[in-house]
Amino acid sequence: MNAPVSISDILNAEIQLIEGVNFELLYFHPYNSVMAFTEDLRTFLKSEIGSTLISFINTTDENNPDHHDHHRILTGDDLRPMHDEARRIIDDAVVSDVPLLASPGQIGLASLMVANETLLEAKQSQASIQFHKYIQHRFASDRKDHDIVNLLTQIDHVCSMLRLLKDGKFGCGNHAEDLEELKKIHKKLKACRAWGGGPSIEGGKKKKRKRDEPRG
Amino acid sequence: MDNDGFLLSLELLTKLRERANREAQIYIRRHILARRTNTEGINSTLSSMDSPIPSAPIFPIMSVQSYACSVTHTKEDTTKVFSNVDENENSILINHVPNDIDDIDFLTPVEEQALIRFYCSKIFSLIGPHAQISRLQKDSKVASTAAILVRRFFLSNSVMMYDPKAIMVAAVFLASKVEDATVDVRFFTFLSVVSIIFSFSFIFICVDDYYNTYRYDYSKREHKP
Repeated sequence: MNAPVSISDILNAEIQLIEGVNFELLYFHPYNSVMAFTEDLRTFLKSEIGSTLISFINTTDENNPDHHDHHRILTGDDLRPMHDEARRIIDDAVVSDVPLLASPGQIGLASLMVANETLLEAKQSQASIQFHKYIQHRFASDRKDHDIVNLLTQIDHVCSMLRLLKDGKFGCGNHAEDLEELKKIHKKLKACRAWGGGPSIEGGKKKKRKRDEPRG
Repeated sequence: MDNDGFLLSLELLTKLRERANREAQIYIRRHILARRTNTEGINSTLSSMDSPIPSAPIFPIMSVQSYACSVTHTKEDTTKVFSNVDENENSILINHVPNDIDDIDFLTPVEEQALIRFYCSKIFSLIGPHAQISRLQKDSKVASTAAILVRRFFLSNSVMMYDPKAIMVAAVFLASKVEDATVDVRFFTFLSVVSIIFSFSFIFICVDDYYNTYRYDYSKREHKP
């Protein structure tokens, strides 16, 4: 686990890797869709329909903390915290299994929804956006009703996956790491791997000699 | 969404990983068996000589598998290939692998996932906006491409067949090329995972000195996010 990787190892592994991914190297990531959705929200929420979907929780009014101010006009900076939080969520999502389960656009939109929720819970943002209605308005023109319902359930599913990433679900290892457990697994791997000399087939003598060899 | 080959369901993901794991087990069992018989044969013929037993034959390279989660494969293809291989494998397991090689403790798919999870989580500290070495500070998309490359590779292949660390570093190198932010391959060689795990500061000093001796001016080409 500790040894550096030599150049020849990297180059060999690279060829295997290219073959193993079926020579398809073009990938799309949710980062762009987060940016695009934020831009679109910024313009859409200023429009006549869009302005009803956003409400500002007035935190300065201590007597009535749940007072919603519908008349404030959205500024560009209102969406910035949500965008940044969404990018942080995506940093977790891209190293997990989520990109294999959902398309980049869905992950981007879902991360914005989760970011909006978490920021409201942490009281770091005042803008509360009704994403479901936003999706309905935005995608209603070219789809049928049941498609929209499908889309909403899909997005909600992606949202629930993204919320679990913090707990290390779906293969996200950014937050918690059990090194002891990993060392055990790595030790076990040494006895049953095909690379790096392969598993030892005989007793102690051979094993000892193998252990003395530098790992590369 | 249902027709896209590059999107999988959770069950299929688990099945594919179990399949890769099983295939690697069968492969390793077979070759251990082959090696055992080889060694025994050599022992009987060369028993009178003092020369050391020739080192066991290197594992022949099993062809890299790739059939999952790809644009050119539809979901039906993936499922079909999967079910075919499944049947073949069971017959192989019964017919060709004797029971006396049960002493090997193979990794379970869950343990493999733990390793992949670990190596994937290190990608962002290897390359990315906050990489530990300034020359490797690139846009997040490079790191995410690398992560998805590793994930896709280990959908069809097992950790027991290919070194996950080498694959991870190769994925980062390949991703830097794919995303038009190429870095020299030497930058990765000294970046051992030990420096990431244990963060010995002296290693960083050595590493930094090493990099400073190279005069490539990558800063001009650095990608600004």
